[in-house]
Amino acid sequence: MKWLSYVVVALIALGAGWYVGGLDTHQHEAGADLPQPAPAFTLTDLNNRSWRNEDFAGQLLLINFWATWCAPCLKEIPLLKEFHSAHQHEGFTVIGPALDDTAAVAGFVDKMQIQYPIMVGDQTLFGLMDSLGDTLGALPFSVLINREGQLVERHWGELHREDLQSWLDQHL
Amino acid sequence: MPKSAALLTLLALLCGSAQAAGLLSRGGPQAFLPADEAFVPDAVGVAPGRIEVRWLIAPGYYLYRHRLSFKLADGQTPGKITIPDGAPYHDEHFGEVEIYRDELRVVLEVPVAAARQDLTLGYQGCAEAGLCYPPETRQLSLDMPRP
Repeated sequence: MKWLSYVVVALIALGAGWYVGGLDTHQHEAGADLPQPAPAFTLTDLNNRSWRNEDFAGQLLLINFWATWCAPCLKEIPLLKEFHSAHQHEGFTVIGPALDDTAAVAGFVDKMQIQYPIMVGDQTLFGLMDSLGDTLGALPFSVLINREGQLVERHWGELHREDLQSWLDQHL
Repeated sequence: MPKSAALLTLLALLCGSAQAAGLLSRGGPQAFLPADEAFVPDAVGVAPGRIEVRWLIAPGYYLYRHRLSFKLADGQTPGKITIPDGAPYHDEHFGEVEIYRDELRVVLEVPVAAARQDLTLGYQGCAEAGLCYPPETRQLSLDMPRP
C-alpha cells in the first residue's frame, strides 16, 4: 500500500501547483476581454510615412512591438517576414513598431531586409501597447486585429510558427 | 512499484511547479513577471567608501553584464567597480555575452567622506522563455558607514 501514498502525494502536489499557477492566470485572463474594438493609432515609419488604423481596413493586421536590444524580437523577425510575404495577397499585413532609436532600427532593417512597415518611437509606443492591453511593458509584444477592426489576439514573448499559423487559421 | 510511484510523485511535483511558475501558459502575461519582480536591486554601504549592489534575479530570468551601469549623484562613475564573471551566453545577434542568473553582487568604491550616497543603477535583462525588458534605471539613496 506504500505506492498508494506516493500516488496521493503526487496528486496533491500536482493540484497544489496547478492551483497556485492558476491564481495568477485568473488575475490576468490573457484574452478574456477579447474581441474588442482596436484603439485608434497613428504611427510614423522610417520613411516618414504616417500609418493609421484606416490604412489597414479590411486586412488582418499583426502589430509586433520590438527593439534591437531584444534578442527574442530579432529571432522571430524572419518568421514574421515569411508570413507577411506568404499571406500578403490574402490580406494579411505585419507592421513593426520599434521601441528604440531610429539609427539602430534603420541599420537593422537594412541588414535583415525587412519589407513590412517599421515604425520607431518610445513613450508613444508604450502608450499604444498599454491601450492594446499590455500589462508588462516588455518585448516582444504582438497583437492581432481582424478585418473588422477588432483586437482578437495578444501574445507576450517570442512568436512561434504554430502561434502564427493558429492565428491565421482562425482569423484570415 | 515504489520506484515508479516515487517517479510519478516527482513528475507531478515538476508539473505542478511548472504551472505555478507559469511555464505552461506560454504567450500570456501570466507566463512572465513584471520587471520589478524579475530583477530586484538593492545596495548597502558595507564599509566606508564601499557599496555592495545586489540584484535578486527570479528563476528563469537573467541580466546582461554589458547592460550594467553605475553612476553617483553628480554623474560620476565610482572609482572602482568589481563585477564577477558572468555565465558565457551565445546570442545569434549579440554574439558572445555574459549573463547572470539567480543573484549578482557588485562592489563599488566611492568617496570615503560621503555620509550618504545617491546611486543610479542601469540594467537590462530577459526571461529565458523569450521576453526582454527595456533598459531600466533605478535610483537608490543609502547611508554610508563613517570612517
